[in-house]
Amino acid sequence: MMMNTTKTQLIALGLAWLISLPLLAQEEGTEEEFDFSSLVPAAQVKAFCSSRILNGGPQQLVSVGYDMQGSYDMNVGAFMNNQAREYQVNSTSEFRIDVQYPVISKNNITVVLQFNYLDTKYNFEEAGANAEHPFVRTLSENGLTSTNLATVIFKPLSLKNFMIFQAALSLNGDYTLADMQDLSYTRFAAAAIYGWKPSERKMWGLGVSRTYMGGALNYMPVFYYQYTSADGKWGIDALLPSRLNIKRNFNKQTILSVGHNFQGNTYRLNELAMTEDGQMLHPELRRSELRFRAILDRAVTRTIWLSVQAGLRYNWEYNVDDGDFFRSLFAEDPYLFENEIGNPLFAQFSISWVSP
Amino acid sequence: MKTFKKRLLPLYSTAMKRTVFLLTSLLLAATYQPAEAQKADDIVGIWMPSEGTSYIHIYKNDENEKYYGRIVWLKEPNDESGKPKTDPDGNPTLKMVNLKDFIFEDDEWTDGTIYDPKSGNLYYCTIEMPKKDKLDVRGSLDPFGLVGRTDVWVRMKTK
Repeated sequence: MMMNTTKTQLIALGLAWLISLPLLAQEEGTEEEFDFSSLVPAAQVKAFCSSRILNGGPQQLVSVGYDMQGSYDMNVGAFMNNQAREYQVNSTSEFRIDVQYPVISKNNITVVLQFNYLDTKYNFEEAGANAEHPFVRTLSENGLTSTNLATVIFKPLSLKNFMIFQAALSLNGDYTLADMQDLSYTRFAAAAIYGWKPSERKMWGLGVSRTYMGGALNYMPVFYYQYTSADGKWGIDALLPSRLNIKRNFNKQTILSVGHNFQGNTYRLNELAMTEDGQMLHPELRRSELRFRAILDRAVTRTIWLSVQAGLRYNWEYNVDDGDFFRSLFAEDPYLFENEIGNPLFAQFSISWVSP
Repeated sequence: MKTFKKRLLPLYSTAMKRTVFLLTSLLLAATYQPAEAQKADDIVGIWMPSEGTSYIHIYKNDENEKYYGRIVWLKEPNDESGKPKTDPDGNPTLKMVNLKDFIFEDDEWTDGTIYDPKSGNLYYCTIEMPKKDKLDVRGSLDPFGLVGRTDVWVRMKTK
């Protein structure tokens, strides 16, 4: 009896081993006949929309760029004992670094940290460091520097709805890295958008922003719109009133965009803070410009892109206030002194590491 | 009747015991694998990425012992013109093998790649299983997973 049981066990194990071989080995080949509609999720799950649209173009991670404006006139207003005078700016150049790092990137939330540094230099025809007007003197000697730290949070609520939050700290002024500006002059901007994503090719939203786009502090509604045509050849990238780009995707490596960019900031003028008669001021240059431009983006490799843009830089505001406060875009309130600058052509070149 | 039962029951019981033993052995052998291999094979099955628009069948290739994933179902298999969806190079999306070459190491499936048929982009990929029915699938630009995106996939089962 014992013998019989052992034999039976061995035969059973042998049979089992033989039968189990194909079960263990093969997972393929059963898909053809299987009815996948009969499946249900094994765990609780909520579907979310992604932060990008189909064929929306690459997402910049690190970018280094150089911007150059042609010559233009600068009429500087009277300030203290300095008379109004016209100066000639031969060129304005700007070196910029932009870094974006997705610290959290999951299907239910994306948090991106942004760092941005811009160093603007003015080349005057004959003024330079000996200029009578202190405003021109500091522009010539120090230029304008802007350092920004921002975070953008994309929070999908469902497959069709999302929210975007942005908060930014900016330190802007006539400082240099060797002679830093007091951090108490850091400015704060923010935006919140509620959006819809009706398809993989379109997303849009409405929101409000606290912005320095017009040079001074302002509160504005914003309209966010991202779109790609069904054939993937055309697209729109808009965050109005700040930017609008109509895009033509020639192929996966080449994108031509035409549109505008409306940007600005307030810059602390440290060199003008103490007047000759010992008066303490808080001068803020309200710098805002509207750029009409064409941009050609071209992939060098899958993740390295070159970008060339050119167009017209239209001056929106270049006046100086005493202090930082709210000012409407079209307000006629008096300034500490007012300046007028010309509208030159500009060109910009940048190289970027991107997420394709 | 009682006599009949008394005579046959021992025989019946022995046959029954053998059958149960045989079936149990079959089941055990069919499912038996070393513990590590069992853990590695936990990934095998049908999974749904977070957008809920496709199912991926992850399977093991026994020739090289690596794991692969094939798109087996699409919520919308055709594009807006009514043709089957393709990647930018024109390859059909359905039945495409878009997860490749994963090995199981240190409790994660690594050294693999994931292909996004919508954009045509290929990413490095690492997969973790925080729960038995969920996967954290991280596609990244770099092999270390520093710059990337994690998508949560859920296991699909029959109703």
